[in-house]
Amino acid sequence: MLTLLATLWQSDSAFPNGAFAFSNGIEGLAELGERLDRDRLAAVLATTLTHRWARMDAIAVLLAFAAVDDLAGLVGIDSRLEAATLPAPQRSGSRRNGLAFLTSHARIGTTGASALKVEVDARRLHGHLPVMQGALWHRCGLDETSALAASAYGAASTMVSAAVRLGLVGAVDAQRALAATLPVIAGLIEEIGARSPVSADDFASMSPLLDIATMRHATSEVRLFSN
Amino acid sequence: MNGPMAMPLDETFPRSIAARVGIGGPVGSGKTALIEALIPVLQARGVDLAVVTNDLVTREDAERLRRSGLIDPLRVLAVEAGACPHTVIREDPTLNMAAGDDLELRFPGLELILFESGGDNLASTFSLDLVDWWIFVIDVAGGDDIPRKKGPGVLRCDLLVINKQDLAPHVGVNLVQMEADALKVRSNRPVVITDSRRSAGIDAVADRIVRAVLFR
Repeated sequence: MLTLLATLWQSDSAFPNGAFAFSNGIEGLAELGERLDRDRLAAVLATTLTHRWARMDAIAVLLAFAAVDDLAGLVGIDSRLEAATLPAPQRSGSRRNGLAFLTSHARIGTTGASALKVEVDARRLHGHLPVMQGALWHRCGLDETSALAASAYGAASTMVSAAVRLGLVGAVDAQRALAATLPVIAGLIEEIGARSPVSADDFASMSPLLDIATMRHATSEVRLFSN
Repeated sequence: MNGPMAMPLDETFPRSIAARVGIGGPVGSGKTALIEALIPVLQARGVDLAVVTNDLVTREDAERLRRSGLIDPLRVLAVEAGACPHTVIREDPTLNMAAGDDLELRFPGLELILFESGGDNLASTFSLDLVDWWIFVIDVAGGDDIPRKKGPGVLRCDLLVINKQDLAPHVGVNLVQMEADALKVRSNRPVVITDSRRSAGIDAVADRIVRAVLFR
């Protein structure tokens, strides 16, 4: 039961982790003229989860979960993720969101969080969000499957929340898009389980429209979100 | 029943080094102007300070301070508010906390960090996870009934600043009554009247900050 409760705790939008300030491409897509109604938003979420999250974030979460007591291992995973994330706004967004998440856990007193923050502050660790999630969620009592679920759900709900605040879709309609995404998440987690073990050599991403939108957004003078 | 133990907590978590002061208030009330006026006054008193801004849509406030010539531009950080000016200083201040930590690391000896909110309405308040003490800025041009509306910002801040005192006769505001109303709804907790552009009342604000968080 504690595993389930810890997962709910870490997936709660009330948990302070900085995610609200990131649209992860949604604001950029809107600036490109994308009409993100419910169906299109659901399609964007499925694409993002399938072609970016499952091949990057999910792998980093799993590897960091396993390397929780191995600082050198975490540094290696973090560095590979930095190198494999080509759009600069995605890299900086992941680092900043990771630092906010880490700051919260360090203040809460999650075991190991303060030590990781020392490494990030000293620039020995980039502190990418999925790496911080994998390591600290292990400490919080989540299991691997729960950590993957929390990571995927967080990625999807962050984008949905951004779409609502940008006025692209209504708050209720947005939840229909999110509900339609749950089977996608479940399928991806099963698929990742089937191809374990994974390594940093498996990092890959193929979401060109989102990547372009994110990069264009970085030079926008008027924006509500960090990326 | 066997199961996972409750998560043990590390009680040696990091604590802030510099004092952290919030400056919130409605858009256009003069938060950035107040900071511009405060910087030289605090510097003259030997206070080592930095600023974090939370611009709502652009980085205009941060850029304005960086280009002001009043402070090393590296001592001004901008945090995006994600369309949520309340969230970034109250429900989820972690991005601001991290920005403050970063400034402390980069500027050893830093004593004071001012956090300027993105500006919103009378309901915004600061989390005490983020700041030790906070100021709420309103202005006479917003109407002399603002204190009587008893917004949480007006009621709960440590110091209420009523800015743009010079405009009172031009917008039909009885400033004496406005100040009396403010003191009444705040149960006589501090209120300072300012004209930030002419530095009127700024010493009184600086006195309050220095006394409250730097114990001087």
